[in-house]
Amino acid sequence: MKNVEAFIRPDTIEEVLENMALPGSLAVAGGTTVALSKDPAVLRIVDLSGVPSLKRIETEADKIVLGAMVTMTDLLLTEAPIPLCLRQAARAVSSTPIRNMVTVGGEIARGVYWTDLPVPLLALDATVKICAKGSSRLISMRDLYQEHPSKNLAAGEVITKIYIPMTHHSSAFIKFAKTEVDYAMLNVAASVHLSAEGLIEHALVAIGAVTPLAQRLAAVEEALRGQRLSEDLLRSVGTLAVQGLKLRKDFRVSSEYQSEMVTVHVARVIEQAVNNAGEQK
Amino acid sequence: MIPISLVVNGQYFDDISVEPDQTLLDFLREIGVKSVKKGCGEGDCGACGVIMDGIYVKSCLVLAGQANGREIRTVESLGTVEEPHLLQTAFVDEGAVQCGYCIPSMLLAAERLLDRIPDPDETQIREALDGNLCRCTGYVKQVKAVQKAAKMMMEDHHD
Repeated sequence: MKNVEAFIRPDTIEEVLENMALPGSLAVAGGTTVALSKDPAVLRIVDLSGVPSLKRIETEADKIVLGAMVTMTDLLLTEAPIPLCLRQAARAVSSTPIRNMVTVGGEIARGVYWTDLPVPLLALDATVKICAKGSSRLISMRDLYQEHPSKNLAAGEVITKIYIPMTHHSSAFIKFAKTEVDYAMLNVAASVHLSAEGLIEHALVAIGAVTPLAQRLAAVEEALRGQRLSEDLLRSVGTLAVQGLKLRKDFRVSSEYQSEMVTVHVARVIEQAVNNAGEQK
Repeated sequence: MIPISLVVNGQYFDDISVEPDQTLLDFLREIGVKSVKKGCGEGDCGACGVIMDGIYVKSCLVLAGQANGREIRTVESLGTVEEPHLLQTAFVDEGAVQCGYCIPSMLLAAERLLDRIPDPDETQIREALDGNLCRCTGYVKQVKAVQKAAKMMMEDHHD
């Protein structure tokens, strides 16, 4: 950050986008990685923390709308009906002073393999609003994460809102790490919609940290459709989850261990999501 | 150089020049606020915690330029040797301080907790202090100290 010439903290989104249209601008959300970055190309830091609308959590009939600057602490303290898996993931992020800084938009934009929030956002089929000067677009988390999100964000574009549909019945999230504040070795989330008879009508399952980027598990989702929860079902989807999954190399664990973790935790998170139905959404 | 103006512990600093890559932590230590410690300098240890506009953050992860126009509080804003904050009294009474390196930041974390929850349970205290590494003690006395401070502060409030 040696070449930064200006720090700007606008109070409107329009002013943010004006500044982001200038070359060398970097949008800063929670900022946990900015001080450690040595990027010589950054000439202007545009701090998003002064825009009140980006901090808002809104509850609509069928969805929750999160401003991109909503922090992990905000997600834990709000009285809005945040889906359980999202709350669990917010709590799993590092420690209190970091949770006070880390934002939903920042988590999505960074897309580091161990990032916690993208996993539940994928499992909730969230949609992201991205704005630039004079334009805005909506993109699903799934599409945004087809490749690293930085490749899907053009220069001058900023994530402003995250829409979370409330069409699922219940959800769950599990982070596996050596300590509570460590980076995840595995993240997994599931949201399910159950029929009146207790069959899984629709399930969304996502995984992260064992893969280079968080992703949905389409084959598992397909195998769950119309099924009733059973040990056999969980065993078979756990095995299915590993098949075709491109594991990233992790200096902390072997790929055999990673595979075992995936099998166990995918089954476990689906079981928890189904069992959470009725108790909490 | 970048010009910044900010308030530190009630004192106004106007138009101070900082390097673009200077952290808030280094800035605070340069102006003499030495209670803010540089343990790891990369967001792990929590010894550099400060309260920025009411929110407890790690000052090694904030650039000084980002603190322009903000209000910073450190442990100096809590109390003095002559008139300590009840949290400070409780930390001493409970023997929660050994080398003391992590304590200024931990006191700020505890102060933010008690501001939000005057009567926290043990889980809430442990969660509030989870960003603060302490290499001397076993995270037992500090929890007791926060419990004691909470009790004293509530009694103080009722008086």
